Amino acid sequence: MAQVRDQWTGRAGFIMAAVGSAIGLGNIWRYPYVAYENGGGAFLIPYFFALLTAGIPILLLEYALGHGHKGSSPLAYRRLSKKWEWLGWWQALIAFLISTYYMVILAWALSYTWFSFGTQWGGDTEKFFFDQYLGVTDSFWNFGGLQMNVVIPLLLVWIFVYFVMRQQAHKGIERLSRIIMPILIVMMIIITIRGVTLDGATVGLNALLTPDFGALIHPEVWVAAYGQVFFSLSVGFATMITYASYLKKDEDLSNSGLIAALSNSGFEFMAALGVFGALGFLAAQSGVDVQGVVASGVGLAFVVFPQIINELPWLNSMFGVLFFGSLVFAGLTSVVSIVEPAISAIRDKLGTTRTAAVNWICGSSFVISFLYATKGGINYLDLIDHFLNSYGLLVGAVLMTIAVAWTSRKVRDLQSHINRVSDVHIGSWWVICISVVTPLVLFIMTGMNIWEELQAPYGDMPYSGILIMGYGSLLLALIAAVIFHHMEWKANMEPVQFNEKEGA
Amino acid sequence: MNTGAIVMLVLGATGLWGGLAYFLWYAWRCSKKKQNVNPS
Repeated sequence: MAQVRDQWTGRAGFIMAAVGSAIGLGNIWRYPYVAYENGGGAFLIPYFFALLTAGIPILLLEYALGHGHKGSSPLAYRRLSKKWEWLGWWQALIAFLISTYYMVILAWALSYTWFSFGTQWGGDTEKFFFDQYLGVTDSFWNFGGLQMNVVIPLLLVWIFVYFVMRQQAHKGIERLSRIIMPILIVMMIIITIRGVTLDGATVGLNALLTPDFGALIHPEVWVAAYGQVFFSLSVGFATMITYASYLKKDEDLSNSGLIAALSNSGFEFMAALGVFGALGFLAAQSGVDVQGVVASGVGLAFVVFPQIINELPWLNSMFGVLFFGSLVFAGLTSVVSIVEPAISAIRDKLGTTRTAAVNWICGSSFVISFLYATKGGINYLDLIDHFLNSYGLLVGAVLMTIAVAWTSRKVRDLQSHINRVSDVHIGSWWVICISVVTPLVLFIMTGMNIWEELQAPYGDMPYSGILIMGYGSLLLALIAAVIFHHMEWKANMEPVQFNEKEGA
Repeated sequence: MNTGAIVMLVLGATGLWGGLAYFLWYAWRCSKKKQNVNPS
């Protein structure tokens, strides 16, 4: 029986969902540090360059693949060329694996929203997070059993996400994004205003924005800019392919893509001001320079920010609720977007109902997520995150550009499709970026990651762990992708060629 | 804040937030035009 494909209510719903997907934890805890470490204000130059030559082009490529071929990522690739269907599965499965630990980080953020009332983390925020809250074990292979502090919020987050995912895209994901995104933006504006008006904030803002143009001669700075743009825009996950496939037939792609990309970048630029204003305040209170307090990722959110909140002169709890609440909101709209590609793919391939696909995908992700809710969970999370991002996403994106531009040679067709439906027409620059610039840069980034891997084991982790969990997760995704590739299409969704659809 | 930092702040804000404002306005203008062409 032919399925009725989910559909957004309109362009605004799609943009909200796409922006919700792109704006995630990395915008708040990754961009500020990357900018600070790579030339400060001068980082904006490679950042803009990367946005225009890789971020926006690859985002539009994914929109065109999903919208033009009207299918989840495996179906879209199959319609591009039969031999590339496995790549669609690979991208959807990498996103699925990322969702398993992303949920646990959301659980931490939910816990810390609660801990913000009365600053329950106390004076030693590092000890509280690692020893009391996570109860981290002393060796990698010591799982240490489930940590109930994490399990309970994890269950709450899963229940919420499950009920969102059960709804059709316009009732679940779109409604969630329409409600949460405006609230998140208001919360971040308040955080930023508070951050930049604290005593000592100027020191932090100077550290973030003072340009070091000399840094631009270092290739690592440019690679960092491309990496930030790539990971921040939610490309390579198959999410944007899936989301674009839910658009109506003649809905705009290019202007929507520009709005989504600039919303994402504008948000992280604003978040960086708030974060570095607050870091400048902490540095002033501690009598050290910004270098002494700066951090990124989990350390910034769960160790340094609680310290900042402790030091605030007034409304400490409210600032804590705003900050950790914004992490929860940013994470929620992102996590639904990385679960959706696998759900959509299963529905297309097996012809199942949405509920059945959600039960399978959310159920599997739910079970795996408990690995990261153990006392050793943060080690596994860190390792698997490194491998899935450094190789899973990057290799998938390199192959996507090769599949479109070099083996199928459909890049001009996709350009025509974008221009046919869009307000802003894209020119040959897009074709050059997708055919040459983007694959080249992504290839260099992958090569640099492999080179670093060969120098020393990631994070001083045991080789057994790297082999089993790091390479193992990639191998698992590859095997599953190949198996799905060879399975029979049970739904009545016979692959058609892109050009045939265009003429239809 | 030092001059260099202020300049980069203005450049970043203009490029990102200004760019976003422009494309939002452009989308609004195009949808208005389409509505005028096809009022139904």
